[in-house]
Amino acid sequence: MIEIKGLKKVFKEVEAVKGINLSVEKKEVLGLLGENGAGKTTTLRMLATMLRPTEGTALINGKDIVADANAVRQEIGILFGGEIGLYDRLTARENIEYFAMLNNMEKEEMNRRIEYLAEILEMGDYMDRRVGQFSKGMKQKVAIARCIVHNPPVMLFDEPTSGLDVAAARVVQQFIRSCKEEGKTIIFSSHTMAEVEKLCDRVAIIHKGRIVEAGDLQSLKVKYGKDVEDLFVELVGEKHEI
Amino acid sequence: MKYNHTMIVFKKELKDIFRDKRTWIASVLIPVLIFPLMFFLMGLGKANLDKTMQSDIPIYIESTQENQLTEYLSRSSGLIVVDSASPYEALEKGEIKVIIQIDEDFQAKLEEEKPGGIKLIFDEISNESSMAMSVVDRAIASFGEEILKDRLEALGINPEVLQPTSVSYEAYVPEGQESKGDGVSVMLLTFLLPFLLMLYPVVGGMPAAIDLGAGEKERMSLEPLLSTGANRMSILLGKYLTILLASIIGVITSLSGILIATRFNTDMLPKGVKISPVSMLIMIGISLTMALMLSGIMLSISIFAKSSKEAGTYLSPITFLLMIPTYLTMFMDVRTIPNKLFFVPLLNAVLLMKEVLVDIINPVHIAITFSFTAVLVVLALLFTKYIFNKESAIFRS
Repeated sequence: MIEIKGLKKVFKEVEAVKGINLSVEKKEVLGLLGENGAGKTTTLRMLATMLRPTEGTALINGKDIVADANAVRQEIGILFGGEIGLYDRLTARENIEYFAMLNNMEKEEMNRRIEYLAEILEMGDYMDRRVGQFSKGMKQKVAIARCIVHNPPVMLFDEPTSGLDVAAARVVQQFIRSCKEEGKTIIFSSHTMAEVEKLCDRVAIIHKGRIVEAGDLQSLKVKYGKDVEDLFVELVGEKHEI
Repeated sequence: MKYNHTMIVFKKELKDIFRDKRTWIASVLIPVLIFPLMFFLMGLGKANLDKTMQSDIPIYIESTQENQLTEYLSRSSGLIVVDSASPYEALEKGEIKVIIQIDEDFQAKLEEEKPGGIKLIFDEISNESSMAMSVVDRAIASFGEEILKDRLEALGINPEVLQPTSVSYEAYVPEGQESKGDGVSVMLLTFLLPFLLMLYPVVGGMPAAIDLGAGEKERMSLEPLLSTGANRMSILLGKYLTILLASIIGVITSLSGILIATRFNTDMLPKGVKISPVSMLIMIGISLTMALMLSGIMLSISIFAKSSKEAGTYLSPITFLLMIPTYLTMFMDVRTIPNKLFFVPLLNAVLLMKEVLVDIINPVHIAITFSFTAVLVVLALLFTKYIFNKESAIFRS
């Protein structure tokens, strides 16, 4: 599970995240909903120990992201949107192996896991080809296999479908669903409501570095009497606009 | 565990950069080929020049009256007097190398035993013309000597009376050392070798540095990499070692290029130059510390840059920066280098290489240079570490 306690990040003069408290239960999928620049990526980067929080901390499966960053990284897998970030001159297998080894996997276990992933993601045909010539969908599958190869209990997704075509986006959404079925704890950031409604148990709306509302989709609908999209616009739109 | 991650990163990066054509071109192909090619082309030009100079040099004599000099020059070997309707055009075209203007009263003055005027006209742009002029000059001088001898004999004076000294030249070679060859080849060697050893760590390492820092950012693979179980320092160390190796390969291949070149064209480098093992060790040491330092600096700059293009723009001035000390010291006298110059970073490395190349082993200079360079290496590494831990550099966008 993930417990975020007073997490804050200041870049020079800009306070990107202004003290967030949030917890995600084991096996839960939390949707982090917010506009561009709301603080979603900064929050996820802090959870992934890429950025050091200015204040506060978070525990991931009981491990502190500030004090125990190395241990935290073994617990998590990340899939960040936009470009896929593969090494074009390496084969699909080499790309995946690199991350498996950096996550301290034993060779045998790694090979077994890669065979398994190649099979379920239907990558068998091109595992030993260099990824430079792959289509976007093929690359997306390699990126997915790479982030999950060490079978982390916690997954962080930052706008994983942004910039993808429909087919590639479906591959990613299917993957998130299978993570959910495997019982992983997931934080998933997005600015598209439909995606959040499709995949998440609970949603937290982030605006200008603060969580303005959090709860499960159903109870939010009941509480405000409108669907999530309208609620989102209301919460981040008029009411909070200065 | 940390060591393990460093090795994983190192092995992966090596595999990655050696699958890149750019690495092969910059670190292997260019350094190996550039010198043989350069020497070959220079040799070709030189051979042509030699050939022209070996055949008779066409000259044109402008004189209105018959005189002894014209007759003497027509008999001289190596010169051929040609006739031309427009000698100045022919000079410009290179058909005539030198025009000799002999004063009208030349023969009269000769007979009166007064100096006769001669003007040599040459083309300052043409190397061949300049060289031809000195040949003509020598021919005229020997004509003068002959006249002188006749006149002295007529006066009953032994020509030796007019030659009170006889000078010969010999370079001092300290005991236990060998001659370095003539001055030109020493200068060529003491310029070229330090130049290469300073520059090639950068030329060899730069493509790798760009790819491993800015390239990782550009293809968006840095974030996933930083979120793996590997510690940030082991990732950095793995990358650093890769660039260091590429730098060293650059140096080795460029030196092999020179070796190959000297086989092709033995005239271009001093023959029989031997570099003593101590000197060799010191030079390798300097080049290695340069590679250690520059790999760190290149990696930090590359990590700071947002894209490969930006990294390339920041990194290329380093090459020029390193050329400055090599050119600055080109005409410096190695025997009288002031001690204080050895406190100037980079300059001291070049100066020390120049010294050891001519077997000057000065322990004070060696100690100062190496301790200063060592400090620079440490600073470069600390800087790299600082940049790699700086969030605003890594996530700069």
